Amino acid sequence: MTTNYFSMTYLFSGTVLVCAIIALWRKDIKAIIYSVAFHGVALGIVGFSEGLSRHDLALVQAGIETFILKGIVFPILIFRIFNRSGGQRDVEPLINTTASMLYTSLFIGIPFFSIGRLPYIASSPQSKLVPIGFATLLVGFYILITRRRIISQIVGLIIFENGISLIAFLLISGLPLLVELGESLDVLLVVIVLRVLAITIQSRIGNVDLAEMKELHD
Amino acid sequence: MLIDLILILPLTSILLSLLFRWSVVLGATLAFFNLALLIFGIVLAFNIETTGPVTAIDATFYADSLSSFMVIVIGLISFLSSLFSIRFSIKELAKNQSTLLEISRYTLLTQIFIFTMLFAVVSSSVAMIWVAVEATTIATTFLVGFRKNKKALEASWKYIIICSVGVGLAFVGTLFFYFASAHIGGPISSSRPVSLDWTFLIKNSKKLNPQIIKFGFGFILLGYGTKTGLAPMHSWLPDAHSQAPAPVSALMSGVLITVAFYTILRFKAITDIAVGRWFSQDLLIAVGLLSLLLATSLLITQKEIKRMLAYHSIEHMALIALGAAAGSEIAIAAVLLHILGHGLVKAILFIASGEMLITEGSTEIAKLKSLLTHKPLLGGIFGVGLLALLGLPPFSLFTSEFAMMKSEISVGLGWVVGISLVLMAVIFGVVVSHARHILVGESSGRQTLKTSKLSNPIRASRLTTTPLVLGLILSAAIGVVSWPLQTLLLSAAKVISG
Repeated sequence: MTTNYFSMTYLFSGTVLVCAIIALWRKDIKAIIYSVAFHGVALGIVGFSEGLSRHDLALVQAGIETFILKGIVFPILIFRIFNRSGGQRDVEPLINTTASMLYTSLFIGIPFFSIGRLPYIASSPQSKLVPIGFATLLVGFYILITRRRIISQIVGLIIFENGISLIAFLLISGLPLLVELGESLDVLLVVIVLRVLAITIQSRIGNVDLAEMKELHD
Repeated sequence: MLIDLILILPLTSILLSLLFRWSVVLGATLAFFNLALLIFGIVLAFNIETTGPVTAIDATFYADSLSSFMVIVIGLISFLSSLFSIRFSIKELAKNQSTLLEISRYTLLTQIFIFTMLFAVVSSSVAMIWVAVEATTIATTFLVGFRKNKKALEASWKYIIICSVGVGLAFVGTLFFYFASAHIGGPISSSRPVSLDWTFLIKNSKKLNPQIIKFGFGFILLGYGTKTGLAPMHSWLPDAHSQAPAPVSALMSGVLITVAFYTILRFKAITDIAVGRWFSQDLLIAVGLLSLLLATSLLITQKEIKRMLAYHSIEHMALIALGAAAGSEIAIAAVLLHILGHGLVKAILFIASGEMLITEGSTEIAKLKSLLTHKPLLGGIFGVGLLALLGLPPFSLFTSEFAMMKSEISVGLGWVVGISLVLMAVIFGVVVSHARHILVGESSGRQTLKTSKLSNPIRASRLTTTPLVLGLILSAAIGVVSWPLQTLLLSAAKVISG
């Protein structure tokens, strides 16, 4: 019984990372948004199955919440910003895709060598997977700093936050519900604020390329 | 009971600003509430001094002397800021720069901002502190982008992206602290209590696994360090502080960044016992010196007052980090005094710069000349404020900087003091030359023409200048007479230095 849950956790934690890498690899914004949606769904399933295997109701709840929020609500919000921007489909990363993929191998390798060696990490099958969360976090951060479009930056931030949620699901057995709730509420608010801000920027400046926002550079 | 009151008060302010459109009466009421907050903070500090730490609502909230000290700082700066908010709002409406709705929204967000900071300093769980610090970012994003022009929107975008990432990293750090506390004395077992409460963590800190804690503290310092404005993720600070309206800049620079540092101090106390003091010391020195170097090199080229003040904040946060690195009780007490002194003076200067924007129409250094001759009081406040900020006696920043450096030397960090003195001397030179230009710089021909054209120049308001003068006197008084602050500072420092 429990073994099945573990294989679920393994499979979908991997999916979370793979979807993040797909978002980094693809240039078509629609494809990126779809992979972020699937990424959120997979994350929700990890939380859900982990909760079931540990008989932890709070974690099950957090999994369902994540599923709805990050798998459905966030992608819809990003799609709305995308539609308002008049459908420029391609992102132009500052660093080309081949080099990005090379860096990605580092993002996966470094966490396994550093965090994988911390005491107690290998003590449970779940916490062994924590480096995957860190790899996801790094991929998100990389998207955030190498992309200049508003949508790509929001995508980067969401992937970054999802990496953190994955770490939380795997590292902690039963984080207090209040904390879990506070965390997802905060992330939801950040995304809503970002959406409103993005729309204000679009309507005031009419430009979704942040590279042209250089007024405040020192 | 007192903690409840301290939280109910700003909640009432939020409710009031939700229910009513902005008016002078509402503004004055909110200012009065913030003054009450300051008084409650002082009463709380006296209470804790006699009876020890207090808790509220099932120990969800917890206040020791350190928390009460932070409540006092928040109350003081909020009061000053909300007084100037009245003047700011009146002028915005009179010049038709903002609608009544925008001003009402601004007031509401400012009160939410103050509430989230208070929530952070009286929460017992380090996870709830995290939630509150994240909430400060959400509340302030639209305040930074208040002007809705290109610059302001750019600043608020940068602000929310960089701070969300930073605070996200802090959450990872918090998770590692939780992981360590779940593994006290071996593998996880369901029978042992696990908690993220500060009291639990500090009590059991000897039993926490040092390797995990080291990892966690690294993330905590990087994460909350972002919100404090420490390098390497400081770049949001000058933009946000210069673009936000002056009362918000005063709050952000005066307390928000030190609330984030307060959190670092709490984690430092746990880390010091679990790992040993050398670890946090090394990290804080590295971060502090890097920030100081960055602040100095970028301060030189600044052309705008608020941006200059913002870089000055990075400098002072760096000094605080270096003081905390020394780690002794006296050093931490000096750090706390510096938090208070810097908050007060920085708020005064930001408010003065806001008044300059109203009366002179600009905060660009090149456009401001001989302020002292045509606006003696405002110019005087600005000049004296800058001297206080640069750490000249008798102001409290001198006392705290002196005490921090003394304790740094006493733990063998003389070289750090040497480097920081050199960099501070550079900053001193730059700021004094800017100040001379602003205050007594000779008016060029064009400038005279422009000033004479304004037959009825706008005068600085008493409502603004009186509290600022009082604030400067307070800052000098704190620097000279240590009573009754000394007892509070020392017992608050004991919370951190053990």
